[in-house]
Amino acid sequence: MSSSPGSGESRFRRSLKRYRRNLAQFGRRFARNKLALASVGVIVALSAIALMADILYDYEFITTVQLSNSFKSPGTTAAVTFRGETFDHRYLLGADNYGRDILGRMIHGGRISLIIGFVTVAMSLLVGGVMGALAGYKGGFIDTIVMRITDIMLSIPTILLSIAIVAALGNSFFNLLVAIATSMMPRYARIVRASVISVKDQEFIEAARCIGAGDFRIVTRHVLINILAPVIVQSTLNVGSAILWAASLSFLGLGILPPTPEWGNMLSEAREFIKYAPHTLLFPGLAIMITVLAYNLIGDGLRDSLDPKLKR
Amino acid sequence: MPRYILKRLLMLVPVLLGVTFIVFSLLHITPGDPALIALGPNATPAAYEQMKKDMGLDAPFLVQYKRFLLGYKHEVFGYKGLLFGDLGRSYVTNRNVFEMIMGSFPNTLLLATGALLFAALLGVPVGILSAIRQYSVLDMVSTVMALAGVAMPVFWLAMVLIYVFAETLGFLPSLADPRNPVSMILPITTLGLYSTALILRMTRSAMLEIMRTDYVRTARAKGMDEHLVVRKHALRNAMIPIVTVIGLEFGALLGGAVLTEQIFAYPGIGTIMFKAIGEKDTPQILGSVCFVALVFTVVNLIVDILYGFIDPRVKASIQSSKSVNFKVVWNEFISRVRRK
Amino acid sequence: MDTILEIRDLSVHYYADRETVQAVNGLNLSLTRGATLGLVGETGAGKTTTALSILKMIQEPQGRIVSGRILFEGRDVLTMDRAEIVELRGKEVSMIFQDPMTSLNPLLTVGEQIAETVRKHDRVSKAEAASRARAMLETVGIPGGRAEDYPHQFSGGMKQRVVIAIALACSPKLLLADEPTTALDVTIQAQVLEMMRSLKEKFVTSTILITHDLGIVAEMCDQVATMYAGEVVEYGTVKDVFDTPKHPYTLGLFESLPSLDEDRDRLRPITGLMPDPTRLPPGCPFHPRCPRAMEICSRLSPEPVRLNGHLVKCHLYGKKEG
Repeated sequence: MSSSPGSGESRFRRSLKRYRRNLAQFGRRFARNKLALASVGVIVALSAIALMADILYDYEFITTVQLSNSFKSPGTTAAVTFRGETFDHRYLLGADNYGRDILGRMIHGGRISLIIGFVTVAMSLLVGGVMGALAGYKGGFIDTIVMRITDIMLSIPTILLSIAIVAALGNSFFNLLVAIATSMMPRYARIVRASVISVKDQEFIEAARCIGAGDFRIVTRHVLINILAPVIVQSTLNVGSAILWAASLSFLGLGILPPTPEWGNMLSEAREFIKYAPHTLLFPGLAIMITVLAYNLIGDGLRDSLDPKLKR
Repeated sequence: MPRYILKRLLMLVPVLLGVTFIVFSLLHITPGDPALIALGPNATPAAYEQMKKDMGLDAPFLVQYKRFLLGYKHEVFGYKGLLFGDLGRSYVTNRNVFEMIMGSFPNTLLLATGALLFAALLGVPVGILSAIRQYSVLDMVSTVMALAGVAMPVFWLAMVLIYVFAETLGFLPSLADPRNPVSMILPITTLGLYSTALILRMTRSAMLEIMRTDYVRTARAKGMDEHLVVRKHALRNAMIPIVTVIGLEFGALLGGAVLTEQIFAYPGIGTIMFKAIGEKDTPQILGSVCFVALVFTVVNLIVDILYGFIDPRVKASIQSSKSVNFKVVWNEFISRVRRK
Repeated sequence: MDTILEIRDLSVHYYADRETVQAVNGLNLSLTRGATLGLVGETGAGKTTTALSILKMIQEPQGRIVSGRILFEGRDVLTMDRAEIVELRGKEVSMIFQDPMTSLNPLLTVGEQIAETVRKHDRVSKAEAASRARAMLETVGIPGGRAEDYPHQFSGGMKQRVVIAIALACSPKLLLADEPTTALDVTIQAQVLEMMRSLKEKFVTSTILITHDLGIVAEMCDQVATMYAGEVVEYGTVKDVFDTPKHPYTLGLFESLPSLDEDRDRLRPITGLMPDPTRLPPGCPFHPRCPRAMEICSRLSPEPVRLNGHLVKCHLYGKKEG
């Protein structure tokens, strides 16, 4: 096709069209991935339940000990005394060793897990992303320093690093967040750096620089758009990992301690009673597994639909 | 080759220094005063000051770090330093930290090696089979199992296995003892299953990717029998990322062992470390974490060097000591592993 | 004349994302023993798919040969069982792939990669195969001593020579060369083509040369077939087709080339793009781009017509129908 007047604009239109088509294609491919779609449903449902935790179960109620109802089986109804009143309560998933409602504790624990997942990913993405972007974009000395730091952090097994951080900073919700976010940070630094390096020498960046765009503008407008895909995929997978790590740390007694309900510490409490009350063990574990599995499936699905070359 | 290995070992030094520095700094800010713990709450201020001085806690941070590496001279609390294989004495038991670690680490190594063997022996063949018979029943089942395996918390799996095999069926003990092979079955399975899932998925996707390469097509076009195409052409190439992931998994297993040991009351380094964390026994924590990190790093280095024997491209760049090329190849594998 | 290969009504489909890609649609082709046939056409015309079909190497389940017969020396390749097909590949029919950079196994020495095909087909000892591999390397102009080297130690042109050595190691009767020089520098291209021509004389191999370079066809081939959207639209001797191209698509290909003989102000490319192979237009697939399209072209697929020595699939030359 020979060049004609106004081809600049038509080129713009075409690229916009292509962008929309890519987006639509991505949507179609993702929608075809039944597992990923179902996982989105699972996560939406779990998040909705977690957000409604206070409506569904009174926090004070699920942290109040009802010794007479210890280890009630799932589905049993028993009398409880709460705020001076006595009434019948149905334990849908049974009661734990202190007679507290397991389902209610799981829902409130789910809310904490959700918060942990998102906050830690946001924290590590912010710090690690900026580090990686700087390293990749500036190169040279900064790059060397950042990469050495990630090398060092990656040479401590992740769980060990988190344990060491919580152990050092002390048990608290915030320190748990810091520990998990720190452990994930080098991953982001690496991914963002690699993506930045792979796009920074491409021609459109050169072109942007030629028309006088500054560093900040280039990074925000051109580079960021192009590294979004791997970062989104990694973040989805990381939410799952963060929930898993938080549960592991709480299980070990680092992080969130009872009576605050958290899936990991619920399992830790259930541990001594495996023999008598397997249901106290079963449900929180399933909750962790289903949540993590769903995030993993969404992450895989996103990756496959964003980059179909990697599939099959 | 020896020159290359030496070079890589030298490159290890700054990394290990960094690791020890990070861990040391972390524990430096840990609340809890060892001098106070050592003396008990009824100590006089003078005795407390003296104790602090004796333990070397009054010195500036960097001086303390230097002592940790190079040694601290004191009749009671002195030690030769990390570089000389002496990490001081436990505040709680007063036993030599390094000896404690050496006493328990073989157990952890046994557990992690067992789990790695379990994972590799199960994950690699099943991964290969499900790649060759893509979309078959085996492929579907193994994919679902692998997905579930990665999402499952290790400690929960451990407890479920204990419930089923120890509490209900009663034919396996729920406590692990390194001297009793039967008691090792549950912890090894628990720890190994997570890695099995990862190794399986990695093997499958590496095989699938390589089965689609041009050189496999060339091999087919040459009239090679399919089993030769798989074994000689695809598998050998797939082994590179597979070995990487197995190597990396070994490190992860050392970390995961911490959790598994806790549940099975297994006398490994994780148990020691945990006890130390509970007791704020700084030298013991410091020593254990640094030691595990050291082993982890060395294992990664060994995996690195192993490439040289599998991949002629890497071997060539090693021999011409152009480690730049090597770095590229390595980073490519790492990113591939991360992606999966 | 002795026909070594005959393809009848070959159709190959690929299935991706619930769409069916009609890569090859009712293709007919025959090749005389000892001749070189040029298969030309745009990217996506189905040239590589046709070649892979001859080796029965369409990867299932993504791709499937839907219909047709491929007769190699009278035997239908598509009905052969696994053992027979493995004997055919590399021994009687060999293929050279487009990209030499990725066509060699990085972990095996080039000598080993040549030797294994010799060992497989000619059942000789390891040492014998190795010495034949070295001899084969020398035939393609590489010192035999380099047999112990790995692919990464060779340049692109050298790698393609190795690929050719592998393909010719067992003196196949038919060689499929899929754009053997596209990935190479122009100067190297000429060397490789020159070598292929001399080797062809030496081995008396029939060849199908896939290319989109009409210059290479003129240099190397006896016959030429133009492919468009999975069909052969024009087929004949190079002389006939080049002197008097009949099909509007073939004409278009020639007109879009710069010429040294004629004085042309401007190249005349064929307007439009290849049709989407998942949604081929009804009738003649070329009609949306054809400057001489008629009403009938959008309705009816043309039958091949024999015109002084070559076949053309176009309504311009057929019996006009109501």
